[in-house]
Amino acid sequence: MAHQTDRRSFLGTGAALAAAGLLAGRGQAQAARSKVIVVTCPTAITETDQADAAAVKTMIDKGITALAGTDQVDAAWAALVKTDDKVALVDAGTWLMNVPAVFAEVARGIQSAKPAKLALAICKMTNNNAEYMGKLKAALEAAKVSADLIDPGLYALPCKFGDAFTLMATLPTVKAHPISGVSGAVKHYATLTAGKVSEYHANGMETAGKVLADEFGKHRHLTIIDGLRWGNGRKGPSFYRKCLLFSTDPVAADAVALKLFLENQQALNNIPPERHIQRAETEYKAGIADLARIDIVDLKV
Amino acid sequence: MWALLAVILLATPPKAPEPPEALLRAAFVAGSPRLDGAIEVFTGEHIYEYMDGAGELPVACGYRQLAAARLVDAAGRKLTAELILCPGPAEAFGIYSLRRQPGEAIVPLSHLARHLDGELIGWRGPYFWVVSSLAQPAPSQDDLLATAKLIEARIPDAGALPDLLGRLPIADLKPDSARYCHGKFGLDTFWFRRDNLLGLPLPSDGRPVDVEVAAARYEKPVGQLIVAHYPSVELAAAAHARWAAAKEAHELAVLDGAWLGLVVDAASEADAAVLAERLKATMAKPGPAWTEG
Repeated sequence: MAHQTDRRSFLGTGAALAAAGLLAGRGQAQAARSKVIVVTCPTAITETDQADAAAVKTMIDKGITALAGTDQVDAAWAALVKTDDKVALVDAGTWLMNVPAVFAEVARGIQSAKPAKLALAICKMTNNNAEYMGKLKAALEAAKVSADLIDPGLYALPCKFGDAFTLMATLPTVKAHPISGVSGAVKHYATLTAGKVSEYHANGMETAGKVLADEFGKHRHLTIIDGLRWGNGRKGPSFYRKCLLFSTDPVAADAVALKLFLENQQALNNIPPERHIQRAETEYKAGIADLARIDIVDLKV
Repeated sequence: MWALLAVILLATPPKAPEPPEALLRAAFVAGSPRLDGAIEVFTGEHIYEYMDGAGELPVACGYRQLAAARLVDAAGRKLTAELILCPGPAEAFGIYSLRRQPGEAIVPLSHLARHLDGELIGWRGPYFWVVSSLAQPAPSQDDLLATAKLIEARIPDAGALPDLLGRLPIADLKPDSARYCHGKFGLDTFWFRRDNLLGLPLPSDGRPVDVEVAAARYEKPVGQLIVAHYPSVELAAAAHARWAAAKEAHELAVLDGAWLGLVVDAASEADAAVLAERLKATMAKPGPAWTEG
């Protein structure tokens, strides 16, 4: 990695940086450097798509504590999720759906912080997939999170998040994509618009970051990119990267995820995949896409 | 008698293509695989609800309807079959051409189909189809082909590739690199320019999909040739002027009435000139309709 930081040095400054991203809103987060935690675990998932829930939990514990700048898991979640928060936990959407254990463990962590509200936003198309939903609900039950928290009306185009939430916790996956080159956190936010999603499709989805800036500019963000597998278009897993990325800056998380993705995968078609992410910073001030201004903490489990 | 037959034939309207939903239902009502739940149908912008941005490519080809069916086979494996009805075979090939990449596994069916990571795509007549499965282990290529054949058996006419491809040279063609589309979303997938230099329709501008674009990549010399056909000489000239104002290195153009040809992605001016000469000759004297495979 180009910008590695050892965990000890990160912990020294992590709390302040986390506060910059979490508490000050997008504008001040822009002024600070952003940080992204990358946690890799070779045993988290097999290449036949069998996840190890215990390993996933360990990865999330490690990532969330590093992000919050504490060694205590409960304290980390409490630092990231306030008791007066109204939290939407948003799944990756359809085609490359989240590993259920990832969604369930993040839900458990958020729930442990006792926010005022927690809604589980599952994409409408995913909700219609009975086989997947069965696995997801089983994972939620194992994590002691009620499936009654699933709100099937939130993530149905056009989406209905609006001002009902203060913290957007998103779990995008990363996949080669026909109109954005690669789809990750910024493109994921574009699909969460309350408007017409097609308005953000043109020219390699160059305006995707506008949704993040305009419709979610007042929200705080917890982005956990589910990189246990990368995807290729609509064909499901194409490579088992076995990592999770954590950040309070969705743009920074996306920039780092794209860098990792392109190490052994290709963007789809001729679309420059970095362009919509860079424009999320340069045009819409929605976060930091410049890798030189992102502190990447690379952790192994 | 011949005159009577001719009158009858002329008086008989062409049979409208069967709706994709009905076609899928007939193909999978029984046997293996068979339907596993309701068939979903999408038209217009509702396609984004099903596949978000990926829906732009069918939209750019003027698709009429998408039907998606969940299937289960005798082994209990889940599959999905999608069928998109297009305005004609050219557009069905167009969606296929934008979804396959040179170097991927290509298998013969009515035309050529592409198999990758548990997904088989192909086209027949005015229909583009997808058979896919996220099951682990994924169904074999033969299993996917067997499912696709059940769909294709319901489509009477195979259809042909777009005539516009005949204006591109076939010598030194990179296999499986031919493309066809109408709108800018399609063009972006093989030649990305931020500005709409070729003046292609966008879904938001409400224009008819009245510009055709075909393209292919070449190996000797390396480069890509694009040919666009406009409804008028003036529109082609306007597109040429926009391209000329934004021209990048090693790009050349051939303007021939309502047809505009471009050489892009060449490695040098000399290579671009060689490709331009070939393109100019083929545009002036188009070859026969292509076949692939």
